Amino acid sequence: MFKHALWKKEYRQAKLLLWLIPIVCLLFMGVAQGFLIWNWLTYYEHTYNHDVSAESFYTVIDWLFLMRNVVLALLMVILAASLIGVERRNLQNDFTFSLPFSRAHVFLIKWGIGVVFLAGALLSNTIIDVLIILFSPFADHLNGSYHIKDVVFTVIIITGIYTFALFIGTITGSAAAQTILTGIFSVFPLGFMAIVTFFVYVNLGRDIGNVVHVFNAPIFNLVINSTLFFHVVGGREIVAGEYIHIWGPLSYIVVFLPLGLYCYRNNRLEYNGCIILFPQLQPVFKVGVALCFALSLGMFLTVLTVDFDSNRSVLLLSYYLGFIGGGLVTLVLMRKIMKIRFKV
Amino acid sequence: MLSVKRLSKEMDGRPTLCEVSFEIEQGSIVGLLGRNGAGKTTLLRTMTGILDPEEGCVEFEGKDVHRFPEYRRQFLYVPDSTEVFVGYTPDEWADFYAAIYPAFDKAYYGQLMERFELPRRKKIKHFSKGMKALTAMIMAFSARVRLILLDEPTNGLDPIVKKQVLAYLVEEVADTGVSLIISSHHLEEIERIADTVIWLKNGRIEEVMVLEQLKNSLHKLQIVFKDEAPAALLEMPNVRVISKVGRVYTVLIEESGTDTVRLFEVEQPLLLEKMPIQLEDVYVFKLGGERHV
Repeated sequence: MFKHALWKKEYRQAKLLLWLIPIVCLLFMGVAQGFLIWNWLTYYEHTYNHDVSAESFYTVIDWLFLMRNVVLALLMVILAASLIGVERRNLQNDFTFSLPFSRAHVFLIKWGIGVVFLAGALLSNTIIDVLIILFSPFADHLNGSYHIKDVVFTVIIITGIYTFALFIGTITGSAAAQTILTGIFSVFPLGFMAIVTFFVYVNLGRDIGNVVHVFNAPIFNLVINSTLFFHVVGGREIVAGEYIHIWGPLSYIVVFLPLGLYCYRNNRLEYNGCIILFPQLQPVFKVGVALCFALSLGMFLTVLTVDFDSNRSVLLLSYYLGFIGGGLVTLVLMRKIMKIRFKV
Repeated sequence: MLSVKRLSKEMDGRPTLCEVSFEIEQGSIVGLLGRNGAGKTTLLRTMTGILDPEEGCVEFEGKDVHRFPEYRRQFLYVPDSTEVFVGYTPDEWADFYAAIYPAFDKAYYGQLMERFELPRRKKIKHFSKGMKALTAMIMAFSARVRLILLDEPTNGLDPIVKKQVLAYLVEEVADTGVSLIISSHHLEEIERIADTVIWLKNGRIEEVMVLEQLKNSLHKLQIVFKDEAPAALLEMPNVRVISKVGRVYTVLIEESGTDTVRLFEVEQPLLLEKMPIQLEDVYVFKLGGERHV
């Protein structure tokens, strides 16, 4: 009875976005695939009198699924923002917390409702997809394991992003902060690695060839695996000669679901509107952002103004001008921004 | 029934509630009074689990409602806005509450909606402010909880609806034994319905007063002296001059007997008239003359 009420509340709060999930799946799976088979591939075979191989057939479908994943990932981030971030700007948050439910329970239902709609939409549309292929001239090409893998992998990858976006919602005070930070942190591991690598290159005077070599190192695979963005755009793709393992997004679920539960249980409504809800995290965030901007601006200034063959001191001067200038300006700006209460 | 124990809360690093403690018994109407920013809404939001206290706790029948949220099934918070339910019709709102509060009385809800001639299938967003306030209260009372916390329930209502709402509140308490905590800065409203008043000032409880007792221990006199006003009398610790217009003094005297009143009579003033005590007088006497709350 109790659970029913909370499911009902969350459903009502986000029903438009929730129903967009099966619609997006239907558009990129059933509708697009049917269109592709009946309007393109059949036409291609008839026109050129050339059979489309199973491999080519699934390569085309892969592209459709890639686009679907990108749209689904965006949709799930917006859903997470509407369930947590948007709630913070109105009395909905007061209402939710005044109900006789534990906050952990509320958070789990927010997570559950998104995952149920996602898994349900993918599963039902996969059945539609399979039926379309079975009743098409390409029935022989049907590869059951491809579709099973697609459902399982996509549910894990998109759930990983959704879990992460919900977690970010538990530590940020507005929908805008939640959405922007989810976007940034989805590419953060790779971006951070790039700026740190450049820092090492400039400061230790390593040959650029050695630095580039890092991209073949196991650490690069680790970074790619922990960069959510790569899983969205290429969950089943080959990147840098290595298969992207599913443990990356899986570990996001395993780590950020309990962490999100903990933060949601302990977040304080009086900080709603602040970029970061937990006062103890605010200085860490401020310094972290300043450091990243310092590293990035140092890199950009060097790349834009200095020839890489020039004297090392010129390289260092340009780098540290950007590093110190960028870091200081960011610190000053962050100090002001952190005081603002955002209403969006 | 409900105990607030040494509750402290900070907002933006500033103490908003400081060691607030009081108890609420079954069937009582408690008025929570204080100036804007005194901490009334923060207290209600902390009591209902919306905000976490820095120190202290709120217990419902011995259980901390922050640690055991299921105990909040026994009480319900009605904020001063129905913004959350604007997309609902009253029937949908009732269904939702029925799924949360196991004792929700749908038949009673139906009766009340009919009695106040409120439409049940029209979206709340199309309701007037008075209709919204009444609907929120009907939902709360239909939930058959044991305590209802009302934040500024009459804010923005016209005098006729206000009267209707206040009468309805008293009637509900008399009929069902539900307890109410009403936050307000309208002294005259609280005076009409509350049996106990809690004064909040700068996040602290200034006074917890049982109104009848208090009115019996306070005297309000209007006095016109023949000559100079006797300073010694007016400066007594239990006497407070609340106004002086020409030679007409209005004074409040705190005492259970009438000894001080007699001292004024001995002065043989031109006029000495006893006036009815109002909550505002109590407020002025206890909290030092700040007339606007």
